[in-house]
Amino acid sequence: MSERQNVLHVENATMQFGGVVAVNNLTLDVNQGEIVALIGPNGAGKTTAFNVITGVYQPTNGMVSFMGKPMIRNHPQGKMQKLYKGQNAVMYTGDYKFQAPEGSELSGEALKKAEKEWKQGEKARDKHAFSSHVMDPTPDHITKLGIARTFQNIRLWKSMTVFDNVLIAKHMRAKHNVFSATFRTSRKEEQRMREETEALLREQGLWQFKDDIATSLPYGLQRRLEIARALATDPKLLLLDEPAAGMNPQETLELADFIHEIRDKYNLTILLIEHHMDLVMNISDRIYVLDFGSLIAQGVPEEIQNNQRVIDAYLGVVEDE
Amino acid sequence: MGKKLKTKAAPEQRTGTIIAAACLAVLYIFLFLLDNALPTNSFTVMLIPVLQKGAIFALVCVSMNLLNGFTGLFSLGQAGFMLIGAYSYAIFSIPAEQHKAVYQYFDGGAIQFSIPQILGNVLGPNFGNIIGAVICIIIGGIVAAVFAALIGIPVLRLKSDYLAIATLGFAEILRAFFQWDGLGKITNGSNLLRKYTNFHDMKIQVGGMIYQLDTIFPFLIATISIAIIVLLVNSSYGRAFKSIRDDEIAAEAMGINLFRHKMMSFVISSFFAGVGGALLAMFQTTVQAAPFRTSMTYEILLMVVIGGIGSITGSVIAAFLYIASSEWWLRFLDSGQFMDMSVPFFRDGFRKVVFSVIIMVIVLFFSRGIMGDKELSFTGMIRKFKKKKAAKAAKAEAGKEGDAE
Repeated sequence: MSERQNVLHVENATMQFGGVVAVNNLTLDVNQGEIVALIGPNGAGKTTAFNVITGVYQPTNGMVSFMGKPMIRNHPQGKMQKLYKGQNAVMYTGDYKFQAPEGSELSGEALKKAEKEWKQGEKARDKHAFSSHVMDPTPDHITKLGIARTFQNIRLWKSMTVFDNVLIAKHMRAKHNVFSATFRTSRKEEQRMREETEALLREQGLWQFKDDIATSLPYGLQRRLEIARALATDPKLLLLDEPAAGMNPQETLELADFIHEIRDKYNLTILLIEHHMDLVMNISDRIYVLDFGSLIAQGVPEEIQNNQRVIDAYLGVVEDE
Repeated sequence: MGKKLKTKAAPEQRTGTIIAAACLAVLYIFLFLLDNALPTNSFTVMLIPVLQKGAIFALVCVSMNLLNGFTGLFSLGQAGFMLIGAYSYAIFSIPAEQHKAVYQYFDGGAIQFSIPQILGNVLGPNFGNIIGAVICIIIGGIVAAVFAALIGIPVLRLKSDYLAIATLGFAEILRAFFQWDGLGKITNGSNLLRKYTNFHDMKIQVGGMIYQLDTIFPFLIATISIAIIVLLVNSSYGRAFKSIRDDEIAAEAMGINLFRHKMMSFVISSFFAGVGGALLAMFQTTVQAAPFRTSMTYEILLMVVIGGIGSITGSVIAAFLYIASSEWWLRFLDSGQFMDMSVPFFRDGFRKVVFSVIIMVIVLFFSRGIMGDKELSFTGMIRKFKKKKAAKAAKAEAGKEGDAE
C-alpha cells in the first residue's frame, strides 16, 4: 500500500471555534484507490474535518495537501494565537522557550550556541510550515483541483430538475465564457456538457427521472443523485458524508457495492463518514476514529474492532453469547 | 445522443418560436402604425407614453429579476444604476450649441461635444441621431456596469438583507453625489439636464418620407436587451446563477466561484439598469437626480414581485400592467367625476388608494406573483394543449372500452 500515490494528506489540522476545539491535531493520509472511513460519535468533528479539507472552514492550524501539493496551510493568527490549544500551543501563547536537552551538560558558550541554533531551526520550520495560504483555498478552487463531496443533509438544488442538477456541476470545467455562452457561440461545449450529463445519468440509473424536480425523488435516489452530481465535477477524491444515513438495510447493502463500483469505474479514492458499522467494516481499507476532535485510533477494520479505546468511546461492548 | 434530445423537443418548439416571432412582428407593425399613421386623439396620446414607459420599466424589471430572482441577491440599488445610465446618456448627447444654455451656472460645462451630432455630421442628422443615441445608451450601461463592479467588490460579500441595505445606501449616496455642485461641470449640479436627443428625434428618412420611431425605438432596445438576458438565463451561466440562488454552499462545493458569478450577475444587471435609465432620460426629456430615489426602486421591486420573482415574462407583463394602471386606467379616480356624475371622493390621490388595494389583493391571492417562477411561452402552451388533447382522447378510449364491456 505504501507504493501507492498519496492523494490526501492532512497534517496537524486543528479547527478551533473560539475556545472549542472541534478538530484537534488531525493527521490522516488517504492513498490512491483506497476507501478510508472516518468514524466517531456524534460531535466528534468528522464533518468539521470534511469542511476543513474542502475549504469551507479555514483551519486554525495545520496543512492539507492534495496529490502531494499543499493546498491549505494556516497557523493561528490574531486573537486565535492566545486562544490556541492545539499542538505546539506554547509556540503561539508566548511561553515558547529553548530548553536544554535533558541529561546534557551544556553550559556557557555551548548552551548559547545551542539556543541560537534552535531558534534558527524553529524560524526555518515556521517559515516552511506556516507560510500563509498556498492558494486561495475556497471550496470552488478545491473542487477544481479534484475533490468533490456530498453533504450529510442532502443539498441538492431544490427547484431544479435532476438533469439540471448534474449539468450545473459540469459548468466548472466547461470551456466557455459568459459572452460565448450567452450568444451561443460555444454550442459545441454546451452539447458536450449535455451529452456527458446524459451518459452519467444513464450510468447511474437516473435517466428515467431526468425531468423530475430533484427533491421529489425518494431519499435513496436523492443520495445517489448527489453522488452523481459530485462525479460530474470529474473528481479524483470523493468525500462522502454519511451516504447511508436514512437508508434501509437493503439500500445500505446496495450502497456498499455501489461505492466499490464507482471507485473502480471512475478511478476514485474515497474518504467517507459513516455510522453504519457493518458498511464501514465491510468496505473500508482503513479507518480513522475521532473522539472529541482528536484521533484516538487508526488502522484496518479488524484492529479498530478490537481497539479498547474505540470500543469505550464509540462502538460499545459486543455481547458474546 | 444529444441530437436525439434536440429533435425530440423540436416540433412544438419550432411552432412556438414561429408564433412568438409572428406576435412580435404584429406588435412592431402596430407600433409603426401608431408612430406614423394613426391619428392623434385622446386614446393614442395616453397609449404612446404608457407603451414607452412600460417598455423601459419592463427592461429594468427584468434586469432586477436577473439579480433578485435568478441569482438570489436581494439588491435595492436599481434606481442608483438607472441614475448613472440616465446622466451618462444625457451628458453625451446634449448638442454642442446647447451646452451654454444647459450648463448656464457652470460656464457651459466641461464636455463640449455631442455624440449624436458628431455622427450626424457623418451619417446625416436622422440616422446619426439614432446611432448616436444607441451609442450613448450603451455608454450609460457601461458606466453603470463599471460603478457596479467597483461597488460589488465590498458589497457582494454581504448576504441577504445586509446586501439590500448596502445597495440601498449606495443608491442614495449616488443621488446626493450627482447633485453636488463640485461636479457641476459634468452633472450640472442639482439643475436639470435637458435639450438632449429624445424619443421624438428618433426618425428615419426613406426616399423623401420621414418615419417617426417614437415608440419603436424603446421597444427595440428593450426587446434586444431582454432577449440577451433570456439567453443568459438559459445558458450555462444562468444555470449557475440559479444554483447559487437555490443553495450557495452546494454551488460552491460543486466548483462555482460564488464571488465571480455574483459579480457577473450584478454587473450585467446594472448594465441593463443603466440602459433602462438612459431610455427613461430619453422619455422624460429632462434629467434630474432627485426623482431617482428609493421609492423608484421599490416601485420596480413591486413590479417584479407582482410579476413573479424568477419569471421574465411575469416581470414584463407586470411592468406594463403597473404602468398602465398607475398612469392611465386609474386616472379617472382622480378626476372627481364618474360617468358624467360628480363623485366627491374621487379626488386627487384616490387613485393611489385604489391602486394600493389592488396590489394588496394581488399579493394576498397570488402570493408568488402572477406567473410564479414559470414562464409564459407558446411552446409551453402548445405542449399543455397537446397533453390535454391526449388526456381527452385517452379518456374517450377508456369510456369506449367501458361501454363495450
